[in-house]
Amino acid sequence: MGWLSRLVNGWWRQQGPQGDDTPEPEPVVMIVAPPEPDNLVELNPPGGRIHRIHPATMALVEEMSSYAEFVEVMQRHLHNVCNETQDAAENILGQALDVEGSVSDLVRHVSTTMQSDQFVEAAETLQISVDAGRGIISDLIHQHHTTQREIRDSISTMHMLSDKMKSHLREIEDIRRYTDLLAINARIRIAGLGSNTGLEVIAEEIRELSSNTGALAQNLRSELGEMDRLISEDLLARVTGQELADEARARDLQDSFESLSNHMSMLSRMQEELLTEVHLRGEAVRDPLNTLCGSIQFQDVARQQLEQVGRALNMISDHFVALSNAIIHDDAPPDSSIATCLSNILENYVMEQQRAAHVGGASAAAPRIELF
Amino acid sequence: MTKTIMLVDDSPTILMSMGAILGRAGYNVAKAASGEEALRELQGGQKPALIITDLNMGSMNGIELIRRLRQTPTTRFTPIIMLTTESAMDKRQEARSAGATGWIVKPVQPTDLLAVVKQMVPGA
Repeated sequence: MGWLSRLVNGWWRQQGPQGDDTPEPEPVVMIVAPPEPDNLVELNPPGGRIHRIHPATMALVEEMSSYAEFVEVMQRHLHNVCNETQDAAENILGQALDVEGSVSDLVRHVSTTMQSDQFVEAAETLQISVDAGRGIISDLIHQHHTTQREIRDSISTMHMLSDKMKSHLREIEDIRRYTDLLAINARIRIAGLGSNTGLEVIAEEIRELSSNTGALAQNLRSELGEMDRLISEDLLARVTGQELADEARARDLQDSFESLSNHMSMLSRMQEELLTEVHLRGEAVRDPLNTLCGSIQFQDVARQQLEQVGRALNMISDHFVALSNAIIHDDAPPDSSIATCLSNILENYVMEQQRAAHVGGASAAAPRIELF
Repeated sequence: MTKTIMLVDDSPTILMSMGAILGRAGYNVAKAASGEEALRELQGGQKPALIITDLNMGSMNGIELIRRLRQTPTTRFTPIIMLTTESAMDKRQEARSAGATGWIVKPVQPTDLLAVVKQMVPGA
C-alpha cells in the first residue's frame, strides 16, 4: 500500500462512521498546505488547487500502480522461460551434434581401419597364403600320383623279373631231370662193369647233385611264389590303400583351402558391404539431425513472441502508471487509450501469426521465401 | 575450395542450428552474434560467399547491416539473405531497397534453406 492510500484510509478510519451499517464514504476534502491534521493528504498540484478524491478511487489508483510490480514479476517469469528454453535448445542441439560427431568418428574409424594399409596388407597376405597353399597341395597331389605310378611300374618290373626267374627255374629243373637221367644211366653202365670199379661213388655224387639241385629249385620256386604273393597282394594292397588314403586327405586339404578361399572372399565381400552400410548409416543420421536443427528454430520464434508479450505488458503497465499519475499528481492524462495501446501492439508484431492471433483471423499467405 | 557462409543472428540457437545444417552440407560457417560483430569479422578479412542475417537484433538491425555492407567495396556484391521471423511486406521492401538479395521467414525447412544457399553459392 502506498503512502497516499495509507493516509487517506487512516483518515477515513478515524473520521468515518463505524459499524455494519457503514454508509458509503463521503468524498474526502484535501487541502494544500498547511497540512494541519495527519488525516489530510497534501497534494502539490500546480496552482494549489484542492482535490476531492473518494477513498475507493484511491484504492483503484493504488491497484493500478501495483500493476507495475505485477508486470515486473511476469517479466521475470517470461525471462525465465526464455532462458530455460534457450538452455534446453542449446543442450538438445549440443547433444545431437555430439551424437553426430560420434557417428562420424565411428564411420571414419571403421573406414580408416578397413582401408588401412595394415588391414589391406593382412587380407592380401592371407589371400596369397591361401593361393600358395592351394598350389602346394596341387603339386603334392601331382607328385603323389607320379610316385604311385612309379611304384606300380616297379611292381610290374618285379613281376617281370619274377617271371624271368621262374623261366630260369624251369631250365634248372630241366638240368636236374637231365642230371637225374645221367645218374641212372651211369649206374646202369657201372653195374655192367661189375663191382669195385670205384665208379659207383661218382654215380652217387651225380644223383646227389641232381637231388640237391631239385631241392634248391624247389626252394627257389617256393620263395619266388612268396615274393610274388607279397608283391601282388601285400605291397600292391598297401600301395593302393595308401593311395586311397592320401587322395582322401588331399581332397580334404583341397576342400579346406577351397573353403578358406571362399570364406576369404565372403569376408572381403562382407567388409565391403559393412563399409557401404556404415557410410549409408552415417549419411542417414544427417536427415533427422537436419530436421532437428530446423525444428529447434521454434525456440527463437517462441522467444520473440514472449518478448512481444513482455513489451505489451510493459505498455499496459506504463499506461496504468500514467493514469495513476494523472489522478494523484494531476498529471496530464496518458496520450493514448487502451485501444491505442492495442493498436501499437498490433503494429509492433513481427510475425504474421501474431497479427492473425491478435485480430482473430487467418494468417496472410505471404511467400515464406522470396528472392529479389 | 570450401565456400564460407556468414551467419549473423543474436540467437545462439539459430547460430548453432543453421550453422550445423550448413556445415553438414559442406560449407565453412562464420558466425556473428550481432551486426557489429559481423562488420568486425568482415573488416578482419573474412570473405564469405554469402551472408545470412537476422532482421531484429540489438543495436544494429539487419537492414542497417545490409546498408553498411553495401557501402563497403568488399561486400558490395556479396549476396545477403534475410532470415527472420518478420513477414511484413513493407519490411521486405525496405530490405530489398537496402540491398538484400532475398528474404526467408523463420522457421525455415533445412532443405529449403539449402536450396536457396545452393542457388546463391553455385558450385559449392
